[in-house]
Formats: sequence, structure tokens, C-alpha cells
Amino acid sequence: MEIIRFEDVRKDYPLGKVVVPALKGVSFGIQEGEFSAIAGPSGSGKTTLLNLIGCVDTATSGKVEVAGRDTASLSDSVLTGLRLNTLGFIFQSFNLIPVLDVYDNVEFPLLLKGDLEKAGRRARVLKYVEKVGLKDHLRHRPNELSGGQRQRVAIARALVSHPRLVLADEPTANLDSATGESIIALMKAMNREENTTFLFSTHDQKILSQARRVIRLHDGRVESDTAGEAARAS
Amino acid sequence: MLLKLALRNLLARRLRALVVGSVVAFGSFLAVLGGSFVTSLTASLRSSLTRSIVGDIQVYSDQAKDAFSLFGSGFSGMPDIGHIANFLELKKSLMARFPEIRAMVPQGVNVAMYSAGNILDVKLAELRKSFADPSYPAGKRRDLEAHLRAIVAATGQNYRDNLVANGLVGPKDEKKDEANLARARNPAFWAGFDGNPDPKLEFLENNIAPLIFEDHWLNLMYMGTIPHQMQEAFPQIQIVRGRMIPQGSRGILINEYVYQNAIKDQVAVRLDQMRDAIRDDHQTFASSEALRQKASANVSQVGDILTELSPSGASGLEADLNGLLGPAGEGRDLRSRLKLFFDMDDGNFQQRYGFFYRCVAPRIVLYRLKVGDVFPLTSYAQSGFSKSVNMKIWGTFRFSNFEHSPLAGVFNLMDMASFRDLYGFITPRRRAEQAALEAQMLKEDSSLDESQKDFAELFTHKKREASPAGSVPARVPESRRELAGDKARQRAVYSQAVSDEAMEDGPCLNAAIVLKSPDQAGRLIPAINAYSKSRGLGVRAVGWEQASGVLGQIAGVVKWLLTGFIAIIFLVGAFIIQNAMFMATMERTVEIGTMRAIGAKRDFIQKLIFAETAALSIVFSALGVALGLAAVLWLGRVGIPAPNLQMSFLFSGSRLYLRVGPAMPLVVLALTVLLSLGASLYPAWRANQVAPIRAMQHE
Ligand SMILES: Nc1ncnc2c1ncn2[C@@H]1O[C@H](COP(=O)(O)OP(=O)(O)OP(=O)(O)O)[C@@H](O)[C@H]1O
Ligand SMILES: [Mg+2]
Repeated sequence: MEIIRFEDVRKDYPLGKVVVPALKGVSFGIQEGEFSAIAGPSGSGKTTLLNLIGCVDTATSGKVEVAGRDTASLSDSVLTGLRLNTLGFIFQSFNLIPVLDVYDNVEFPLLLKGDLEKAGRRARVLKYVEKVGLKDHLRHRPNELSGGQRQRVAIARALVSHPRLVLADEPTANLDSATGESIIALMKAMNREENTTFLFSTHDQKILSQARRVIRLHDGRVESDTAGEAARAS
Repeated sequence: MLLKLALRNLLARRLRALVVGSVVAFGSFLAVLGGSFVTSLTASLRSSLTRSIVGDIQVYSDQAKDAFSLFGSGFSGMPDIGHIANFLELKKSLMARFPEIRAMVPQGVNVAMYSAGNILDVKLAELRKSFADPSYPAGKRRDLEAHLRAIVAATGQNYRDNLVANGLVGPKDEKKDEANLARARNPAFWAGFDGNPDPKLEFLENNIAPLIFEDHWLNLMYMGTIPHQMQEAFPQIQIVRGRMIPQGSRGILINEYVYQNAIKDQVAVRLDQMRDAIRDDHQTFASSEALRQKASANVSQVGDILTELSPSGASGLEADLNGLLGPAGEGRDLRSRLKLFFDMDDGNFQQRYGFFYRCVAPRIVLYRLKVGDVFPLTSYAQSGFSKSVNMKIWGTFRFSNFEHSPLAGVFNLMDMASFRDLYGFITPRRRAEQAALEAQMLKEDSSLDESQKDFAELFTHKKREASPAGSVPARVPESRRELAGDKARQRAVYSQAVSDEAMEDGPCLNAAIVLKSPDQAGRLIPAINAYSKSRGLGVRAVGWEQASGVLGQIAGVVKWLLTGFIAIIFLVGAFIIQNAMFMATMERTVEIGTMRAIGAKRDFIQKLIFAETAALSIVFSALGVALGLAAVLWLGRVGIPAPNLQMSFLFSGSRLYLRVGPAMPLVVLALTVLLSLGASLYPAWRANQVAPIRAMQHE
């Protein structure tokens, strides 16, 4: 089953009087359970594409389907529900809530969902904080953490609610290669164990090599869509 | 969670939270303080008025032309409020129907004048009294006679300078007056004076005293009522001198304030005022123009003091003054010595104040009227005719708590029978009594000539039968000579007995109702009005605020002023809150966008903003309310000093002690929080409009 479907998607950004085309007719589909990467040089449209899938932005034209639903036709509250229950989003610039510590930031989506009791939430939060290696920083605020640590909090926050689809915008950009790899390993394990679909953008060749499918963007168009090294290796 | 986030957000922007919080706290503080001030002021004004004069409810004629006000309308004299035709019937009817009524007394306010007369009148009255009193010391009477002779001797000059020179006397009268003066100056007139003094006293009173120009008129505002019932109904009435007008008697009870300020010698009044200003307000002659002016006013009134001194009093005072000021130099007479004495300064005031009361006051007329005196009161109705009634002064009284307020001093108390006589009301009962009295008087006083008989008739109100309760035009006494005639006619009236029932059974202007429980006034007023309408009682009931006219409205005005002031503070506060929360929202668009992108509903964002405002306003409003309560409690113990006498009436004393009920702080708290939430409506709306995409837009 396709969890993402793009059909001739265009996205233009108005910039003063000119219009900046960020996506110029992109079509592809992603099956549930895939572990894929979006690659491409800076400015090629990776973030734009992820935003459209993440239901935080709408396409100028074309069709974006997420979990079988055409996002253009959904109301704000349905989209909110989709973001909360189906999606996990790892932002390029972390976007942690500055006044909350690590624990509270990670717990935040669980509180919004409201389906777990306090003890259940705690177990879940601790599990993911431990997985991203921040057990010792539970009560630190974002401004007391390094960039890499913040990134890991953001990852834990995205994964903690067990979404069907996780979108990650350059998840390892701020991590040293060892941590980066352990994060990828974590994502892979979730992909394997819970069939969570992952789609991440990256420049990092090493990370790309972990993907089973790589969609290459160039100047707002799909340049290539190939099976990744990982897929070929297996 | 929401609350935690809200509190964290507030803490993260401490300075702004503190600024907004201070505004909230300040507003709450002022609201509690102001609210308590208004409540306390209203409560104390209410107790001042309801417990002194007004009662819980006032009833008056529904035919009243002007708005009812016991204290006058403030500018245009007494309002025309019609009258209640028969108090007794009204009372019976209302008391039977409304068991909540504890007491009901008839009232009526009017103004009358009293001419204390000039010094000759005063001394003649004293002499007359001395003849009636067998134990009066002979030496003192001789001194009095000498004083009278001295005054008579000076009268001729006074008469020519003031009356003749100003064309106030016709040539025929002048000739007669000069003949009278000559007779009074003749030593033979004074020989054997004490043998049969009455004709001579009458002669001096009627023919010589009117020739002295100087007259002191006194306006007395009084309330006619049944005095002892009034005292029972109004616990704040306290007797200071003498006694309450006894049940069944006619007479007047003078307000102590009037006694001390209008009836007392004006030089002494000024000295008292100076003492108060020095003692209470720490004024000095060096710094206070008002003090110096009072001293020089006293200096210029030395002439009055001189005429009041008897010859022996004058020489005694001169000796005392020499002791105080040192021996007099060449050509220094008593006048210049007194002028020197009254020219006081910071160094000698205390000593001379004491000297005045020790050595000057006993030798002059310190009070024009004293307890026990009988004096004629004259009232002028609006249509221009007059009534005179002799009044006995039984004592003086004050309203406890606000004895120093001139506003509380406006009323003297008078029995209802005299009130009706002065007002021109006549009841059938009274008509019969008066006819009998007049018949007896006319028989006794055979010396009356025909014109005086006419005049006496006037006082019997025989011509009034057509309109028993109203006023019928009559002749205005054209001169003092006529008033002097009145005096003789009316001399006996004051001693008549009048039963409570007679005082009740007749007209009055209004009536005060005192309730068993004052809280019932609000319910009872409309009930009385409805009852009056259905039974045709012809009266209207109002509460104390309305009945007190301008005074009652002061509480309302203060309330509106303060409410307006606090409303402005709150408005400014609301504006500040709105701006602060708006800024907080705009600064946090990325954060809000992120929350939205993670799956927070619009609702959540809105609640977050409200939670922040609520937390901020609850904490700081509580703080402000607590500070306000502390201030109120403190001021409740210490009291706010009344800045002036007028205020002391409002304050029911020299200080206002603030009180506060349990509801008010809670109301203030709730209002403040609600208002803050209202002020954050727009920022909250703007916040929930932040799109999730804003999460990506870092500056
Ligand atoms: N809000 C915006 N307004 C105008 N232009 C935008 C906006 N966001 C992106 N663009 C433009 O759209 C194009 C695609 O940008 P996008 O952020 O998707 O690139 P990217 O591949 O994520 O780059 P990077 O690797 O640097 O993150 C760029 O040319 C960018 O300038
Ligand atoms: Mg990007």
C-alpha cells in the first residue's frame, strides 16, 4: 500500500513580485514500510517536498496523498489529526520547545494524543530518550544541549508516538558520524520491527548508503529514483 | 501540562510578565482600596444620616412640587415639598400595615430669624430677669442699671448718626424719638427704678432700643418634630447642655455647633477658631494669613466689646489688662488697651486666650442666648408675611460622631406645635386652644391700643379658617416697633403644654421612618408606595440617599468618580495586557508553528495563551488584592483623617475607618482575571491562526 503518492506536484513560492518554483512537477509513490532517502544539492527542494508530505504546507498544483488521503481536500483539524497520529516530523532545525526540558519535549506529542497514562508515557519517553543516548540529560533544557543532542531530542520526539510515517529533514546533519550511524540504526530497527515508513533527506553519502531507495532531486525535479546501496546489497 | 507550559513561558519572559503583573496587581490593589473606600464612605454616610435625622425611609406628600431633600437643594433654599395632611392618621395606617417599622416621627424643616436685639435689648432682658429673681444680688443690679444708663446716654448720637443721617426716620417720628430720648436720659427716670420697673422697661424696650441701629439677626434652621420621640428614634442625638425638651412641652433644642459658632460672641468664636488652627493644624501667625486676619478682625470689633462692658466691668477689665500688658501710658484709654490686647501673635496667643476667658468673657455677653432663655423666633413665609413665636431654649445637643461638621449643625430641634405656628399650619385643636389663650391675654393686657389689638388678632390666626393648613397673606411687621409688640403678645405661648397626641394629630412636612432592621428599606419603600397608592394616603416614600438630596448623592458621585478612575486604570491595564500577550505571541510563531506541526490543535494554542494570562492575572491580582486588603485593614485601624469639616460629615467623624466584606476581594479578583482573559482574546486568536509552516521559518 502506498503511504505517499505525488502526482505532478508543483510548489511555487511567491517572493515579492517574482515567483520561485521550488518543485516543478514531481511524481512518485512510497510504499508503507519503505526506508527511503531524498537526496539533492542545497536548494533542490528537499525540505519543500517533506513539508508537503508533513501536511504543514500545500502544493500549488498536483496531488499529494498521505495515508491514502488527498491533503488538499482536508480540513485543518483533519490535517492536525494526521500530523499528530500518523506522522512524525524531524525538523532540519530541531524546533524544540525552549522552555521544556528533554523529558517534557519528548513527552509533548504523547500528551497531545492523550492515549497513554502517566506511567505508560514515562516508560515510552524513557525508552526513546535512552535510545538516542540522552538518559543523562533528562532535565536539560534545549539551550543547555549541543546541536547534536538537540537533534537527538527532536528524533526521540518524532518517534515516541509510534507514527506510521516518519519524515526527517537532514536528521544527521549535526551529528558526528558514530552517533549519526546509531540514529540511522535506531530508525532502521523501528522500520524493521514496527514497519514504520521512513523518508529522510540528506547530503551525507554514508547515510544515503543506508537507504533502500534514493530519490534524487535537482532544481525541483526528480532526477533519479533508484534502489539504494542497502537494497542492492541485500 | 498546559499550565506547566504557560508558567514556563511566563518565567522565560520574566521582565515582561513582571511589568504586566504589576499593572494587574496595581489595578487590583486600587480596586480593593477604592471599593472599600466607597463602601465604607457610603456605610458611614448612611449611618450618619439615617441615625441622626433622616431615618431609613422618609415619606412626604406626593403633591410635592420640588424634589424632596431634607438638607435643601443646596443652592435655592428650601424646596417646596408640600405637606402631610395628618401625621397621626398616616402613622396609624403605616404602622398597622408594616410591622417592620420601629418608629415614625413627624418632621419639617424651616428657617426662622431671631433678632438678638442690640446691647440695650440684651441688658434690658437681663434686668427684667433680675427683678423676677429675689436672690439677685443688689450690687450686680445697680451695676446693670449703670450700664443701661451709659448705653442710653450713648444712644442719641448713635441714633442721629445712623438712622436720621440716612433718612430712615420721618420728621414726626424724629420729634417723638428725641422726646423719648430726653425722657430716658433724665436722671428722674432712673430714680426709684426698682419700685415699679415694668412700665419703664417696656418704655426702654419699645421706644429707645429701636433707635439703636446695630442689630444682630440670626438665621436658625430648625426641624420641627416630637423631640423626645425623635431622641428615642435617633440614637446619635446627644444632649450637651441643659436637657431634652420634655414630653408635653414646647421649646427648642439648639444645635451645639450653632451655639458655639453663631450664638457665641464673634470675637470669642474667632479666638476659638484660632486656637483650633494652632493646636490642630499647627498654624502660626508668622505663616498663616488667615490667622492674622482673624486677629485684626477682633481688633476692629473692640467697639462692640466696649458697649457690652458695664462701667464697673470696664474698670475691672482695665485693671486686669494693666496687670497683663503693664501699666498704661499717658492717654491710653481702654479702647486702645483692648486693641493692643487683641493684636495677638505666636508668642502671646496662649496667654491671652486664657486671659480672654478669665477676664473679658465674664464681663461681656458671651452667648446671646442661654439655656433657659425664652426668645422670639420670626419666620417669613414665601409669600412674605411673618409669624412670631416665643421659644424656650431647653438645652443644646449634637450628633455624636460628627459634632464638628457644619453640615451636621444646620438643624436645631423644635416641638411640632411651635413648628406649625411658625409655618402657618393651624389644626382645629390648636385653634380652640389659641382662642382661649388670646381671650385671656387680651383681658390681662389692657394697655394694648387698637392697632395692637389688630395685630394680636393676627396671631390668633382667626382669619385663617378658610385654609387651615395653608398660609394666608397677612401684614408684614414694618418695623421693630411692631415686632416689639409681637414679643409682648407671644410671651405666654411658650409655656403651654402640648401632648404627644396633639403634636401628632396635625400636618407636618415629612416623616422619618426608622426600621427594626435597616436592610429592609429596599423592600419596604416600594411596598409603602404601592400601599399609599392603593389606600390614597397621598404620600411617597424614598430612601435615605434620595431624602438627603445633595448630601445623599455625594456617596453616589464619589462612587462613580472612583469607579471611573478604576475603570480607566483597568482599561489601560487591559491594553497593556493585550499588547504584551500579542508581542509574546508574535515572538513565538516558530514555537507555535512547531506545536501545530507536531499535532497541536488550534484550540490548544488558544488555551495556552489563556492559561498564561490566567496564571499571570490570578497570581498578581491575588497579590494586589492582598496588598489592598492589608492597606484596608491598616486604614481600618488607623483611619483616613478627614481633610476638612465637610468631609468629616461624610466620614461620620474626623476619620474614616475602612471596612471590607468578604465578597469584594473575590469580586475584584474575578473581575481582574476575566478582564485579563478578555484582553487576551485577540492575541489568542492571532496565536491560533499561526500556520504550522511557520515552524520552518527561522529568522
Ligand atoms: N519560504 C520560501 N520562500 C521563498 N522561497 C523559498 C522558501 N522556502 C524555500 N524556497 C526556495 O525554494 C527552493 C527549495 O528550497 P528547499 O528549502 O526546499 O531546498 P533544500 O533542498 O531543502 O535545501 P537545503 O539542502 O539547503 O536545505 C530554494 O530555491 C529556496 O530558495
Ligand atoms: Mg532543506
